[in-house]
Amino acid sequence: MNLPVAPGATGAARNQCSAGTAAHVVANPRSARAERTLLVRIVEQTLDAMEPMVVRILRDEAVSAEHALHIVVMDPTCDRRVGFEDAILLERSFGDPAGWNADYAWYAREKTRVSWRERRSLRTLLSQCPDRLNAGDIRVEGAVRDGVWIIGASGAQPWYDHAIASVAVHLLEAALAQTSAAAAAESRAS
Amino acid sequence: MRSGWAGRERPSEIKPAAQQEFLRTAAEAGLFEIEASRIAIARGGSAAVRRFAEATLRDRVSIDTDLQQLAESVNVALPSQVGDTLRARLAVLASLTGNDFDRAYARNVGIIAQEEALLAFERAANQEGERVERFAASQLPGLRKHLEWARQLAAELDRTSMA
Repeated sequence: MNLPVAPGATGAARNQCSAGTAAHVVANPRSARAERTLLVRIVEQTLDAMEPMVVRILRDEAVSAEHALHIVVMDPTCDRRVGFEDAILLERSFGDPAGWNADYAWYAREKTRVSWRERRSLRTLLSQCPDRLNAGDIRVEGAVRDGVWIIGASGAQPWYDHAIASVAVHLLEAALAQTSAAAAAESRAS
Repeated sequence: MRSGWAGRERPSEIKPAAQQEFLRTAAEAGLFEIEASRIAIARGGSAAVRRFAEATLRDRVSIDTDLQQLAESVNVALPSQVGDTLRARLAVLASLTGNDFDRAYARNVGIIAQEEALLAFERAANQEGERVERFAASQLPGLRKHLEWARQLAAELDRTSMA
């Protein structure tokens, strides 16, 4: 999807992506607690597993004109009292951000910001409760909330942004459950 | 009719939204601490953490029982499970092992959850004359004592991990 470059967007600078690699990760630089380290590891592994699928989907120019996708993952252990920026757990770009004409990181954050505020998927907000949206809120789907996870995506057609964010949300729910089950088994064995 | 803060309110007494919010928040926090402490009793790496978790579980179950009675007496429905954020914190806690688990439990359940509970109870206790406020005030000494214990436990775990 071709989106205009957002005026005053700061996302591309902040995500510190370098050109030429397939995926770039920026984890929130808050203190490295064991819980946060664990969550970042789970998210990174999940996004690594998704990468071949995402890259393949992005090859189609009809799906993503710039073969681009930026994903924002919110920290599920942060509640609403934590500011949006501080509650971002991790961001990742698929493709080459340096070559993008649009600031997809900014769009992904704006989608995620609305979903985080409302604790709902943008698809649900747009179709079922548009009255919850404020003036200035982005009105394109592509941020998904399910269970404890909220994830936003931008760079492809909005329905693909939504689909990829949905896949990530469901895989992360499973990965967290798996990690918890493994820790319980380890504890019983020791 | 029950006496004290658990007695039945007169029908004309409508509980302010802030009191309903306090009861629900306190109940959810209690569910979180109870579940986290059960995990800690089963999984805590150090005896000190398990002792703290046992005390937390015992105190929290006691508070929860009183809270249920109080909520019933003022016709406030309490949550039966924690919300998404606390559910995520429980899942992450349950995914840690060893010293990581001990320190995370001491910090997140012992200190942070206790500080939040203490703040909520102090706020609720600042309004006089109502049962909810009297109940909140009656819990403050125990919460403060428990928070102090948690801080000592967390400091000890930090010292141990740095040694």
